[in-house]
Amino acid sequence: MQKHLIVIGAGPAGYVAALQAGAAGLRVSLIGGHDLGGTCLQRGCIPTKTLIASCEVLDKCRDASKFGLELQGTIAPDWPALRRRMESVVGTMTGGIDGLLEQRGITRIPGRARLLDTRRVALEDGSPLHGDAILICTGSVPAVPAAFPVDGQRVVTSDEALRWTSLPASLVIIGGGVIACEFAFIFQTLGVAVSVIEAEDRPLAGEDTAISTVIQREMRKRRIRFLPKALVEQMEVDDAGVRCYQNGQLLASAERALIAIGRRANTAGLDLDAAGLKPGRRGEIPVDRHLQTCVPGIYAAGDVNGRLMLAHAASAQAQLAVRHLLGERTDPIQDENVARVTFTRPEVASVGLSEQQALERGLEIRCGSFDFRALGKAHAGGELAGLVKVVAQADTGRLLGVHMVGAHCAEMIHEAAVIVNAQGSVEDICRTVHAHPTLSEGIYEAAESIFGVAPHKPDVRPSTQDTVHASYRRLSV
Amino acid sequence: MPVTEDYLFSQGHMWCRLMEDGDYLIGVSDHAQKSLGEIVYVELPDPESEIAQGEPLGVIESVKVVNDLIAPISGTVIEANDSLVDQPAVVNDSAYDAGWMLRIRLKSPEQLNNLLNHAQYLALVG
Repeated sequence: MQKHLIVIGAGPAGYVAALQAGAAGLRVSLIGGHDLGGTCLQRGCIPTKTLIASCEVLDKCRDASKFGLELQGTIAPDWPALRRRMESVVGTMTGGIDGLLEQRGITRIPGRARLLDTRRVALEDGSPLHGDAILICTGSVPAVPAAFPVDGQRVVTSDEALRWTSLPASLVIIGGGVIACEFAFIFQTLGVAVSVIEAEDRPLAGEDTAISTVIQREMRKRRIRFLPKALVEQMEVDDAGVRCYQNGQLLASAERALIAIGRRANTAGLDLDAAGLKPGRRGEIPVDRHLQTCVPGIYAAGDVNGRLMLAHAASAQAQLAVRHLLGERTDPIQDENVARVTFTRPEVASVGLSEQQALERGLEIRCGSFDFRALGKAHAGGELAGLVKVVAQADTGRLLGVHMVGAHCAEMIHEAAVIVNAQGSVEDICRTVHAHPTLSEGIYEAAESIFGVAPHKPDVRPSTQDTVHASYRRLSV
Repeated sequence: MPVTEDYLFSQGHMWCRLMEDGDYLIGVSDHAQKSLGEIVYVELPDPESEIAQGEPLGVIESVKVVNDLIAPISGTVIEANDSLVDQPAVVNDSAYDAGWMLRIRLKSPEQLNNLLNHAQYLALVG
């Protein structure tokens, strides 16, 4: 008899799991069609990248004379038109997922669900549904401390910011992570005066410090005010605007505020207790390396398990869970080797360990870096800002991490991601001839600078022949 | 603008110069701007912050490199040259005059003994 999989949640974890299970011949019930594509498609990745594309055009047009072009008249953002473009793209993608689910014969059940026991859920109308396995993919929601009066207009999270009907003249962003920084660059480009208040000492504190340094500088260039080591303890909101205080001192004031301090697992209304599941410290559903919870047959994939909070990780986890459920052999996902991308401008992308993380683990490492402005492609393209940093194990040359900031880095990181996940080495990058002229040559130069001589790196001191040969690490693997 | 006797230089390729009101202007040398190439951005500290001789005070970005600016003297930033925000290449055109970077209230006069005069600086950079 056909096994029945119940999937709760239709985001990047849920719908991918449903498609995979359906293709494998399982009977699948996907609950939650009201939010097809989840936060990623409806409120996150896709809408913001659509906005960013418009911002790129805007910036390029403003710089037209730099490219030898004469722009007659002016160019300005049209927020309602920008929103319509977002909605159009989201609509197309939603229709696409709809079509795929249709093709694979996935049963779609609208509304929410809660657990009744280890094998049954109750649908929104109260009727029970029995499954042979349950996969929970209910995602996450913006974390909002009680002290911040989110009203959806003057004080918002990322959910509401994209639904504004007009742009503010000024904005305080609370948080300095991925979402906060992306929005900082977006709104600044669209003409908003932006301040960013961050508790850590740098933006994108999860990245290697070399990346934060460049992004902080790029923020300064755009007059985005960045306040590090600052914590908003009180917020005053009235018709005059929003004022943020720490210890009675005014940190920043603006017309509106965007709270972007992180996201927390969404398990509200699931009734985890009924199936014997207990949430972890941050409200997440703990899982093992197969994405299975403490209850055999119940899995949790995506943001709801608190592991990575990345859409592609959600999809990868969902696929792994389905394969495990089918009894297939699965290789666990190495969380630190999942590529991370941030669409600030310039873009940020990284995979593996940062220098700081590697040192914390007691590893003996060597690092090499290369500034993109030493490359012809960077100059030809008029995109100078950025660098590549490579972290390698000192004795074996094993590639531990690659960190990039610059144009198109979100695409370029995958060369490094493949090698890191294959447990390859710096040598794998060095012996690969990189096409010229491309920005990817920067990865080669950074890698070569560790144990060899990077051809285009300025200020390289000449070494003796012995030193150069001794420092090359050739691996036979 | 020719370099006069009151310009003092650091090994980090910055100059400082006593002004009438007792404060010092600082900037990068002509040698520095030539080897850096076209300057595209100068990151300077805010007024009221402190700089320390020999320590990075900011960043200078050119089409070729991104380098730290190393403070030639210690003191308090009174003013930063705002014109460099929109026109950083002024540093290339006029490193000793219009391309000044900071106005500093000097902390320790004896630090000036660590600096070079123009002739000594020129000998250093060959």
